[in-house]
Amino acid sequence: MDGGRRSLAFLAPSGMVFVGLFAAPFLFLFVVSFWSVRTFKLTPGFTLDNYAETFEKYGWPLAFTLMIGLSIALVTTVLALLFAYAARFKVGRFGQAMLFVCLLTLFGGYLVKIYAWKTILGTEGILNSALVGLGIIGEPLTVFIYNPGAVVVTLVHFLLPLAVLPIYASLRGVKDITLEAARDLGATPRQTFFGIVLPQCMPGLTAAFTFSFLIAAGDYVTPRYVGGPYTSMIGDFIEGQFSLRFDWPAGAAMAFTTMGCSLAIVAGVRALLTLMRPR
Amino acid sequence: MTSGATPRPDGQEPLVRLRGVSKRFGQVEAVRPLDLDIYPGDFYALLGPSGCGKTTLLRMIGGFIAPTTGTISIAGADVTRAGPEKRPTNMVFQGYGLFPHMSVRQNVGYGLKIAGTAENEREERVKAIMALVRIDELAERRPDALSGGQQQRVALARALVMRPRVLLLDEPLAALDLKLRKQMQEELRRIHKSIGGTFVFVTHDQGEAMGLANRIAVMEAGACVQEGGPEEIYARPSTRFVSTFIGDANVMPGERRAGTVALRNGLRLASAGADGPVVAVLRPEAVTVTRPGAAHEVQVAGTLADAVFLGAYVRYRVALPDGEEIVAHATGARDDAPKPGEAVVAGWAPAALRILDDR
Repeated sequence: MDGGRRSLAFLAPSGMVFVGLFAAPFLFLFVVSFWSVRTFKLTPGFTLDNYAETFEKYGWPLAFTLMIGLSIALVTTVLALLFAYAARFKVGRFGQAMLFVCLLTLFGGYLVKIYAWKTILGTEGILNSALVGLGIIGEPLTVFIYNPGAVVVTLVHFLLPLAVLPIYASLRGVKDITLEAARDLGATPRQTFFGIVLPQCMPGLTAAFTFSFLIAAGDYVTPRYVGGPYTSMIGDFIEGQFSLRFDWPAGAAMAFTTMGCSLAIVAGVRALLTLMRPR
Repeated sequence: MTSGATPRPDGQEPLVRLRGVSKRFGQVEAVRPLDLDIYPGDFYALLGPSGCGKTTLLRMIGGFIAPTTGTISIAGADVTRAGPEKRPTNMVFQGYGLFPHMSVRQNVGYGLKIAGTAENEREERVKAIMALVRIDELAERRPDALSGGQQQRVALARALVMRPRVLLLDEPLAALDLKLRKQMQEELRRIHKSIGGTFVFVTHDQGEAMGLANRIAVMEAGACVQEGGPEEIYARPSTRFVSTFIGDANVMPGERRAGTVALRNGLRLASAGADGPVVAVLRPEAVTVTRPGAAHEVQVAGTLADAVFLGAYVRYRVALPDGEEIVAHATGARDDAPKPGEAVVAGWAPAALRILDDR
């Protein structure tokens, strides 16, 4: 076997998984999004009704989802930056330990974390018990859970370790000596942070932000468990189209609309960051 | 402990004045209390082997490390507790520390931008300094697209554009290959001459210190063991360490008793001073090697162990009967030169031998 063929052989298994489980269903659903359903049967054709309906009926959940996704991504990225910055620059050799602890939390599963937050925020939860026990409030409060805030808290908690990794990796590339040089040239800690550290870890920040945003905007499990009746995220509706209504074309159109909007936002944020680069 | 506190004959005030400055890291005394005066216009070398505390000392002058004891003043102001951003110093770091996300021009202009210098003045000064260190062609490049020598120049320009009262250079040439090092040495000399500032640099390379500096502080184990001009240090090393660290030297151990030194190789000479162990140091170029019979003022007999031709000079090794040896450098090849294995005498003028207390 020559080199080219050999590398092909190495790529084949992952390639097959990619094509079989991602590319093919993806294309199929894209085609389906232009079909229609007649008496519970998928009918091929070409119609834009599904997309029109997405904007008409689900415009608000879509906008809300994108907004909450942006907030989650923003909060996650900022917190992850603070954590990674401390681990890299502020705690000396404890940085590795901090990172290890951060990775450790990844072992707790997604659902486990959701239930953990239910236990903390619920009316019978740890937070309410503590507040009642301390005499700060008389009755348990219901404001902690079943609202968008609970979704943000839960998803930020879940995404934080994943966001810390790329940011820490790029901060490791920032040499201490460049910070000393900036200080020597008269920069304040603030100027050094914004002018020297931040631009150098931009790739990590964009990766963390993109990652957090796409996961948060596509999530439908968390809102179902801690979001309450008024936190309607688009993923929830898409899932309903497939599992309850058997309206695949509508579900597909909603999914592709969500994906298109998400990618547009990511591209927009990246373009904005490129424009903001110091000159 | 102290050195260099003598005033200049021209009555100038020192620009940088260190008094009793020391630094302790835990149990390690990196710099022992020392005094140092650096005068305006000096090209000053802190010279010593690795781990002697020279970089710690430089970083204390720059404000990156606070001294454990003592005071540092620059241009008459006490800056002991001031950080680097508050000192009229700028540093060229070992490894340069260029900002990788900025072009050469942005790197050089960064300090002025932080200082709030007006844009047209900033541009002018950046342009002028880039021309001075000859990097104007590289203005739009990023540091990772530069060679080591070019990065070195950018780091130099970035510091010089701030017009520091004192420019600090940490092993400025260590990362460059030999040819570039020679070239950068020339450049540094030229730049120092053309802008006339005060430069302080750290080096472990005695050739670099001799070639660049007009004053040298030789450091050993956290202490400044000798301070002076290069010629003075070379001609009159004050300790055995200095004599061997700066240039080659024959070191002959012996003992002084009642004003007479007896060297282990049999030589005796008059030398005032306290009784105790001494070393006599002798520069190889002060030694002449001939066949027996030639007249020398002081001489020892031995066998020529080898003669190595090194281009500019021949290096002779003369083995003495007591097992010691004497190295001599002779310029110019001679046809009648003694051959290895021959009986020879090594001779020198009495003044060439320096007697140092060996503590």
